[in-house]
Amino acid sequence: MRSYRLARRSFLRGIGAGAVGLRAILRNLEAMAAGTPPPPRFLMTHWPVGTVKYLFLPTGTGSNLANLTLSNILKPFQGLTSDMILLYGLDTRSYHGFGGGHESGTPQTTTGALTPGTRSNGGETDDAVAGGPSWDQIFLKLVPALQTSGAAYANAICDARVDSFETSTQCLSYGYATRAVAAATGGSGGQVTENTPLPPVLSPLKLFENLFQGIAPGGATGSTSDMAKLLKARKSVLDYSLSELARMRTLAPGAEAAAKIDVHTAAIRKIELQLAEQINMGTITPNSCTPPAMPDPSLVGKTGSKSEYMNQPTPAAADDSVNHQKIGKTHLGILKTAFMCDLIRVGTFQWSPGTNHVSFKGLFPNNPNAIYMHHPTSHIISDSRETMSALPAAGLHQDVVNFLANVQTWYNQNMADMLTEWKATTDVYGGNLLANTIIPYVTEVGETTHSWNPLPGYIFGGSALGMKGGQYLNGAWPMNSFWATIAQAYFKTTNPLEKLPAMNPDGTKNTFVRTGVSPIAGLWAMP
Amino acid sequence: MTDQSGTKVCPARSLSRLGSALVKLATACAMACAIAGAPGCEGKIVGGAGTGGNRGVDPGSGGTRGDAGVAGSGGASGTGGATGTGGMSTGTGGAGNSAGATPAPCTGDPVTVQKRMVRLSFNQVTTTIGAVFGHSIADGIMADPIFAGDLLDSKHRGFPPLASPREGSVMTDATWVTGDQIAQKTAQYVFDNFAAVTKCTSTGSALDTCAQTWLRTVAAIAFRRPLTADETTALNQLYADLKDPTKVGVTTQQATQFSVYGILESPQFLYRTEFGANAMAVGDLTPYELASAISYFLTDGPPDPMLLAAAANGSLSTADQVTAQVNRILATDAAKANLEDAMFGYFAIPNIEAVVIDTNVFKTWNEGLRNSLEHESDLFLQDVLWNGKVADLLTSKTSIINATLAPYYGIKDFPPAGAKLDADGFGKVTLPSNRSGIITQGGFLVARARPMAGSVVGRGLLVNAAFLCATNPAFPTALAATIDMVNMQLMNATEREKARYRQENGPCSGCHPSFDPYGLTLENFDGIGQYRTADEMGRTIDASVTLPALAGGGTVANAIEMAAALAKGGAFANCVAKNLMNFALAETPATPLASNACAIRNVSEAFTASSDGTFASLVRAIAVSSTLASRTGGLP
Repeated sequence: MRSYRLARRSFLRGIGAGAVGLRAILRNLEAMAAGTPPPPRFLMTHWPVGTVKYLFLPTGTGSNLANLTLSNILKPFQGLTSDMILLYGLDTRSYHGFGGGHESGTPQTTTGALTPGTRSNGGETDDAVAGGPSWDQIFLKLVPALQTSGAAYANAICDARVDSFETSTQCLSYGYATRAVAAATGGSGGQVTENTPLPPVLSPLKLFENLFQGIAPGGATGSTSDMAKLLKARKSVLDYSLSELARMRTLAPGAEAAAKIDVHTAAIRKIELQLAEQINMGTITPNSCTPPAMPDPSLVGKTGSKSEYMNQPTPAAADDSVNHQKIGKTHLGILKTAFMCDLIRVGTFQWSPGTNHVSFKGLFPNNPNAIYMHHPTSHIISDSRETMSALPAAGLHQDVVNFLANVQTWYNQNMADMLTEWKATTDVYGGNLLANTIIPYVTEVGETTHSWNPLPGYIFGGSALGMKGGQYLNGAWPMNSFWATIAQAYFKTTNPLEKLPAMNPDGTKNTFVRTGVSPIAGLWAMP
Repeated sequence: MTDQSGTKVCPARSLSRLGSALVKLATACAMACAIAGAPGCEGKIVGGAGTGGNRGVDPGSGGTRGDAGVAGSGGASGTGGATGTGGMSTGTGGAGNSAGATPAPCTGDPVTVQKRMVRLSFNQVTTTIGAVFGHSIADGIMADPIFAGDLLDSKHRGFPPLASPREGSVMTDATWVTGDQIAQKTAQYVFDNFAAVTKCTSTGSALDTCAQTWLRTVAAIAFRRPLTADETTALNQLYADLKDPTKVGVTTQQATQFSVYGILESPQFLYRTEFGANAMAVGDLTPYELASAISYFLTDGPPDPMLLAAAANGSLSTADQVTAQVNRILATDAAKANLEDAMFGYFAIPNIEAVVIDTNVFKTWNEGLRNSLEHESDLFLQDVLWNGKVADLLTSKTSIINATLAPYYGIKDFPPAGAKLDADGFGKVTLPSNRSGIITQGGFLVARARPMAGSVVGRGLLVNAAFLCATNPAFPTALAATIDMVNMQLMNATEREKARYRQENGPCSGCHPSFDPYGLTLENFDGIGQYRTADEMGRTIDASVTLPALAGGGTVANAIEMAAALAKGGAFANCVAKNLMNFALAETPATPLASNACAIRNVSEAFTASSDGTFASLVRAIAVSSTLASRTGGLP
């Protein structure tokens, strides 16, 4: 039997100001001692602006990655090929209703549902709204093994600058709840119904606080019993809030207000339940889970809207890449620990929007001091042949193509670093974190001209869940076949669509497009 | 042709001159429209009953009815889509009213919003916290980087604020977490400054008594009304449980902290209720609910003690009583700042911060000019909203500028003799005759500028929406390649020639005549809003147009006359009224208020009938309206 004792000092340091997830940690340690296998996890990740096909695809014969030569763009994943499924040929065109290339492409990719209109946001009219929940939320709702008490999921983004006030490109995750919003296009009567965006957290400190922090007056130096009191105090507050919501519900004027109260109540109840369980477990002395250090409050990505397509390539005053990398590592570190400690089992991570303004120094060929913005510079390439088929893109265009490839390589290197860490991480159940987590890595457009076919996509991890890594396939599949491939692992069937009804028992709808969808063969087998 | 929603996008007209592709497209559209017998673009342009092309549509289908009272030269049957004659601006389909005739009746009951609960925006939560606990904590919350993107200052918030995607009307997981963190930080502040905040310095049970008394006072301010007996019991019980060693067992200071946390987590704090005396029946808001509705509309903050006292003693029951309170509040800095910033955001002036201008084309553009233009618009709004009339937004011949802007506006002598400059060097000037109000103001023009040039279409759409509340048609993505082809063909044409082409050739003629004229009148202002008489190729600019029917249909020589025509017609005042009403209601009703709704028309007509035409009169008309004060019953 493993000892659960831990030095008080390291416990308090690790917990920081509070102990929101301690119940989860202790419960899982108990489960581990009883031989319970680690739970499955899901982390949707995204990189912006597609790829450069002819610089991206591996070369060689067959589908076994071990026998292929990885392109420079793929080389960062060289040590991870056994945990990687690489696909080229995903298609989201039939999920397009309204909206721009990146703007509709993002919800098209993550929800697989038709975009029913665009939001009136004071800017351009191409900010697509989602026509269904995103796949992270679908899995969270329908796979009990992915559910935890408490927050249940987390969404993070490293930079939120966009072109024209759009929400669509800076959000991967959409809930089941729908709401009417003012429409720029689509919908009717000036409104369109959208599945509610679940915006990602920009500040790593906020993500940390969301996941790890409770309340502790006077700082994190109290005794363990003080910490327990604070948990109870917080639970008392949430119980009070729930009872006041219940009181208001009896007075509420009808269904619409009642529905608002119910959604509000659900948000509180997740946290309240987690606190209740923590408190019931008694003394809290966790073992192998050390929460991350509290991030620097000043480490936060940028926000804002700017339409910067004028000078091409689009210069920037400062290099964002150093900070961008730091923020990414910090977010991913927090998510890793949250997954490892089993606080959450579902999340999304986005580097930046498809319409980003992140600038990179030194990635423009033959110009180590040049600093250019990623998405705006991509707009130089308006002929898809220049990125798809090696049509000679002379001069500046060739430089831009190479710049885009270098940026993608940069993102891949940082993802590879993260995946390598996850591969080396043991969760609180004693299981390998990467092996028990499926990490799709997707993008919103195929290439710079905003095509929605063919798209590249990766599936990392999940070997303990049955995913068969080490493969490369170049074909043609609707995007929802990609998600159905992953769904096999969670529903433990080669026919996961049977587990994905059009309407759930609670009346919420799975509106992803089902036409032509089936799991891609050979990528999963029952473990 | 129809778009994804089945709405016709643009009807065809005569055959194009550009080639077989366009011919086929135009023919297909004409056939579709002839078969349907509908004028096209319905459902997209709230162009007014009687404006070209929008009547003749079954009001229950397609788009909304247009605004009443706008001249429409009525479409005879058989025009429009069937034979391809006449563009939208000449009034196909439907019997329009003749120009200047009595407006059509408004539609619907002015009491049109149902009983509901309205979430406070994050900014409203923070201002309320400031009112309860002091500005120090509120300022700290606004400045906290973890709320980047969630909390925006009043100039950059959405219009109305709950329309922002990060806000919304429902407390989702994400919005709850942000609110929870705000509540925790505030509670922590109370703990850290216990004695100073609560004024409780005794010991033992006397300290508890003091703390609980303070908490009940705080709760009443936070809830914007007295607590009910049940609410008082619940709050007392929370405190007692927190102190009880068999349940929680924290100190008095901690119990106070967590009780504050509870108050700020409660629905009574986080929402404004609009239940009235009977939530399921039509009726007025309670006095406290009305006080909150008025206060958050005017100041973005909770009712002040005088307004609460009026609610308490029954002095918020009559229109005169409400007017008296509104007048009092409108005189406060908080109200002025809030409403100025609301209009600043409404006209999208903050967009200028994000605009990119090609300095190879506009060599005088720099950050100093950008900042000066933005500040000018801010000062202009402050001046006109409180010292002028609503119409002055369009027709004012003065502005408040600095030395940077003087050459921009062609003003040689700055400051003018006798002018008094403020600390930032801004002073009032008389504008040149080629400028009038916000529509020709640099900040407004540049806020939606493109890097290398202005845009007739872009500016036209902007005026159509912002000043007339017309719904702009969707960009016909299916025609994108065709549009590119047309643009290539016409690349050396003047903007007037291009607009004439769009007016006379389908499928462009289906939509462009309804907004291009506004943009054409603004052609005298280049991409960064500087006045010019010739275009980039040296060709003399003719800014005269015939305005669309929604704007009165008259002929104007330039933007000044266009602005005057907009100010004179009822559509502009109605548009401002509509937008301010939506702002006041905070949460867009399930069925959006149409421009012709009685809820809007009653307000704009009351405003028009008022003696002074001021912005304050319009705000007052909204604040005392039955639309704001009453609700239909909730729906089960």
